[in-house]
Amino acid sequence: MIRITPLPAYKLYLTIGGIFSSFVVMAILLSFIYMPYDTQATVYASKFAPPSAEHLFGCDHFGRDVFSRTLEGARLTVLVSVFGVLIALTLGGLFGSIAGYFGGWVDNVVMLLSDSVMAFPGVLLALVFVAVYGSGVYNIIWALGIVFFPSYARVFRTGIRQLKDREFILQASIIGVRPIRLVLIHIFPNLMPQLIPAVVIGLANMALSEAGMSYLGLGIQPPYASWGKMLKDAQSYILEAPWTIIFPSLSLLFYILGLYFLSEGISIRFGLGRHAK
Amino acid sequence: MTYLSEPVLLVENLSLTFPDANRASGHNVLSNLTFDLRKGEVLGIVGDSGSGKTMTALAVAGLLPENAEVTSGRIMFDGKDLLKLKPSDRRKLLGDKIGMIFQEPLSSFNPLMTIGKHLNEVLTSHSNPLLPKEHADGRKSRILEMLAHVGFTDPLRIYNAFPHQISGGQRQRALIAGTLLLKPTLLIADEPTTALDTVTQSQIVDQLKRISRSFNLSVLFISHDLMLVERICDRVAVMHNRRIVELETPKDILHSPTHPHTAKLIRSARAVRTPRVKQETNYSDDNPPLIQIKGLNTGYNDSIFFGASRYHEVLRDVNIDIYPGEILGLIGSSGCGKTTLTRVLTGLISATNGTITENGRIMADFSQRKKMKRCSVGLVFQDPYNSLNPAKTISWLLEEPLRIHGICDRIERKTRVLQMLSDVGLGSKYQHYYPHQLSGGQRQRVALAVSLMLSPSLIIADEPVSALDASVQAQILELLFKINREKGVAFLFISHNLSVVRSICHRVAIMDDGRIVEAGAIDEVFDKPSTVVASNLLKAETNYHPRSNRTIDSQ
Repeated sequence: MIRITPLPAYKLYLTIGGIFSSFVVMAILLSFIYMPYDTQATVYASKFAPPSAEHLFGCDHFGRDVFSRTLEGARLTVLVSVFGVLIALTLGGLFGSIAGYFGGWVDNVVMLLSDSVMAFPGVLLALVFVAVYGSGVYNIIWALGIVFFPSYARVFRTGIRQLKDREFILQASIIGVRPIRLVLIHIFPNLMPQLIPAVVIGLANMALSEAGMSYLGLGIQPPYASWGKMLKDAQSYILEAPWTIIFPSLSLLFYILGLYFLSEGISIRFGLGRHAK
Repeated sequence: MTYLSEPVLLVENLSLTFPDANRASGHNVLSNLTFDLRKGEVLGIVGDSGSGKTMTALAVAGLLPENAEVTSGRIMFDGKDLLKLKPSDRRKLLGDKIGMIFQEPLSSFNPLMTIGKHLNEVLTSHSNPLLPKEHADGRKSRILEMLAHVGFTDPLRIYNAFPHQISGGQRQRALIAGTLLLKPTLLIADEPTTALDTVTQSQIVDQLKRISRSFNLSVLFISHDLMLVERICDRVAVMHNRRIVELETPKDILHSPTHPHTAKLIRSARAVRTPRVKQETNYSDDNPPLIQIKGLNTGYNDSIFFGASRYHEVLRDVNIDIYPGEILGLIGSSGCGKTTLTRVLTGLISATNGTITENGRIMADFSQRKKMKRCSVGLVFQDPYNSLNPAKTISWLLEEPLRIHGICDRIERKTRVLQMLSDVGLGSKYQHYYPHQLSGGQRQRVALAVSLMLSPSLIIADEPVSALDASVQAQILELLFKINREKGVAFLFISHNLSVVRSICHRVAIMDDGRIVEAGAIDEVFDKPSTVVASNLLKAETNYHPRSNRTIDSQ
């Protein structure tokens, strides 16, 4: 009866978020079509070359083109965050659904497991994982996926617990829908308003953690470029060659900020979290 | 009478719109509303859903959604225009001077706090300058006094109880006590009894009327039930299409309605309650029973402390036969086990003892731990806003039973869905709609269609019309009737509203405290109830609609 027309604020958030994150998407597309320089070629002559028509973002301490390395960094960051979220989402969906659907002691055991993962600081746990299993891109993705799965498990568990006693779910089980179909087909679509912002914010958190790990030296290994790695390399030359640190920082900022704005816009649109009606 | 006293609340020319991106003029919700409320008066506002009655209440309370826009008018209260007050002053007024109670009393309470703590908080958080600073003991005695005032015989038990430990009616009364503690001059009650059963409803309404008299409290009573409003109110405003079409004393409204819509409301309110000639059905007592329930016992363990638990018996030795093609009414006050019985019959929960047979075949024998087989029972829930999956289209929902049981292929499914939609009186365009695009009555039609898809021999209808407007109620009952007649489906019809039961059921069973205390042909049970419980239930209903019964008799 009370039809509440959405506040126009969410459109603003979505637009800003869209513009910011589209920079990163364009950078990735560009990197496949046109890469100005080899990202690993060290040209001593162009060491610390300032931004110019030839080197758009200048060059770093090995004379590598910062623009090309930023493009490559975008590729890696998005790869790590997307696949990390996929792993976290799958694990979280599996464990959260089991805990939420069965309840009782199953719920206690699963949640104990996920809470004990949550009890460690995320990046620290990922660092331990990488230290044990080595630091390839795939290990980083797995590490981040495992570290971040508990928050998704909570979204699924809470959602299923709230929905499974609702009358439309009871109706479905009366007509004979089996548990797996009940959860996947009847319950999951109703979790989308909560899941979509969680996924978007998860992408940002993964990207930040990857940058943090690379900055600490346990993330993406040389000679590949990631934004966090570029920041670590550039910090010693921050005064002589500020361009080596400005451009990767800005890229990271745009990606994170864009995703935060998108998630905020979606939350307002669906009336979630602190925007709850 | 209080009519000549000064107005406490004066609403003049109030118009309200929601800006709509697609339309320049916006979405009108109230237009040119004018009414006044005098001291000690109870003013009822009735109307169908969407007529603007809740918006009126929210506007007076200052709880309108942020994007609502007042385009004209003023709301005078206590000599001030509420619309011109600062939000902070407005908030202070709400609670101190204006009390509000809502439809669902449970959601107004924090489950972790006792009722006493809630009421204490009311007193401590509103630092009313007129009230002297009280000590804890003083507060407690005032709360106990107020709890006794709203009709509790043992206020101390309520004081120490948690919200889930008391019934819906008691919660609603505790809530009323809470709002009265601050001695408001105006109480807004938005459908305060809709979620309660008949007996409790009539108690609460009487209580409210008595309180209004003794505290000289003005009440704005909002309801969709014309007969209920008639019982409590001094004057009634009928709302239709965002405006007040009639504002009169209940007697005048009922006996000489001037607006066609009022007449329609009265007609449909009576249609629901008027006993009618039973239509021909293929029901007969001589047939062997369709479903036979024998010696059914159910309960649950209420865990108290670690391993310790207490066994709660919900159903005690329930025996009941349902015959093919009949409509069997099941009545009883809240908490007597009606819902548990439906859950056992549909296989959602197991019983501890007893057997269920369908057409002579044993479907479940709980004493031998044989679980319920899926038998052909459909269920229609009370709340149509909750019983359809909001993420799916109507045709998807209707196809689902056929799809999961692999009954027929895609094309056949589509034709069956269209056929079923027309059977329940919906056009084929509705197949692409989502539940939120439908009205309550339409949703209830879809819910009925979903349970009909597997051609069950019995449909359990758990209060299928009590959440609907009177005019829609009559249509849905008509539809139940039609399906019963044309498809020969038996119905187990659960309701609080005895006159509805009387008008559509062939037989009736009365349930109390987990037992079937009486069962038999409808007229026999209603005219000559053989047990005390049954006659008490019937009396409560007659008290609840005294004048409606009289008008029917005089016709």
